[in-house]
Amino acid sequence: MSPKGEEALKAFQKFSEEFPEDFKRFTAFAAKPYAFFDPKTRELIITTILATKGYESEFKFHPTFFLLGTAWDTAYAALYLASDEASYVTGTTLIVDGGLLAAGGRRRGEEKLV
Amino acid sequence: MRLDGKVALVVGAGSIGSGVGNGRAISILFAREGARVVCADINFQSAEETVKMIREEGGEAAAVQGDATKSGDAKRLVDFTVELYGKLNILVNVVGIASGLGVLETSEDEWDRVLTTNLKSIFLMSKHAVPAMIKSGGGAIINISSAAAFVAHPCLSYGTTKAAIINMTRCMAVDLAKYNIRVNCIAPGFLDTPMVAPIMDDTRRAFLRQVIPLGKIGTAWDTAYAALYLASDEASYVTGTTLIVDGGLLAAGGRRRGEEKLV
Ligand SMILES: NC(=O)c1ccc[n+]([C@@H]2O[C@H](COP(=O)([O-])OP(=O)(O)OC[C@H]3O[C@@H](n4cnc5c(N)ncnc54)[C@H](O)[C@@H]3O)[C@@H](O)[C@H]2O)c1
Repeated sequence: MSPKGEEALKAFQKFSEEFPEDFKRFTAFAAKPYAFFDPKTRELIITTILATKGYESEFKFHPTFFLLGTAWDTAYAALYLASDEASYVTGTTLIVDGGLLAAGGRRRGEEKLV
Repeated sequence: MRLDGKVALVVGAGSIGSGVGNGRAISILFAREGARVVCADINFQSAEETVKMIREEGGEAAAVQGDATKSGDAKRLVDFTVELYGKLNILVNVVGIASGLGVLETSEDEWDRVLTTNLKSIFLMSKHAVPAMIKSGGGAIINISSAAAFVAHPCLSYGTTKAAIINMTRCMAVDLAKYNIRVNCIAPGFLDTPMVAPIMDDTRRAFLRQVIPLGKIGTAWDTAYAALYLASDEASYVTGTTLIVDGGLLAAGGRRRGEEKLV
């Protein structure tokens, strides 16, 4: 692992101690989707979290997974749309936003908007 | 494989006629991609036929009878899945019936029947499946709407339910996000499936090829591939949305293939 990756990993571990509940959810959720990538990709995910250090409280209230998307999420959507699997799909928009638009401003964990 | 280790419950996994409807195609494709699939249908023979097709390919599946509009049955289908395969990761709500009547022709009974079958089934199945999904560490729910949700196709009750499913999807997505459960929807356009066989003839097919920009009528496999993407971890940042699979029909807004301008 690169020095940058190690630094990111340390920050990630600290983060996991501070937010044990969300961390459990994060690992349960994130370990699988990204497990079939090489370690380099794993670094990318960790780096994403490091980049948002200081915004932990925002994270906790992110409308959906508290985890931000990565470029890979766009890539998988693009892969589907580019492949023959989508041969009956045209003229439409595939939203990849962790549920942000569907939430319409409602925050994660908030029972009601007003 | 893209669904390795996952357990899926497909409700409406049979097909109204011989051939491949949406639930059957979804079940077969999910099994091909490594999922263990429970095929539930009100028509047991039809669900069994789907399972037979999966086993012939070497996949793992089981058939179970149940009426998704009955709370007791909905719960039983979930319990069956968890007892058999130990968990539940994916729920696909395929159950739906068509009705081609307008406001003047629709009877009160017809209205109730269509709303109950198309909407209550999703509500009840999701309600009972979610606790099992939470225990399994999260999951994905996929609902089937229709292009009829967006425009005034001549089908009042059907179109009403299909539009409602889109917002049910959003509401459930936001409610369930905290459990790592994603909820998405597919809106297929015209498909050549047993469901529409009674209203499909060569004249109609020729007409549809003119109004569908891609110049072809889709099949249940088009729905199934969209479901595969949404069910897989590839879509792990996708929730609360509706994926339209209609050959460009809605985008065309009535413009015919080859027509330069609408008027
Ligand atoms: N076929 C199309 O052209 C098309 C287009 C757009 C949307 N859709 C939607 O796709 C879905 C499936 O369509 P299909 O063409 O595969 O239909 P289908 O009738 O072949 O399959 C639906 C299955 O659901 C089962 N079912 C009905 N009521 C049930 C209940 N109460 N409990 C359990 N099972 C029940 C039926 O026995 C049948 O096997 C529907 O929601 C439909 O509205 C279909």
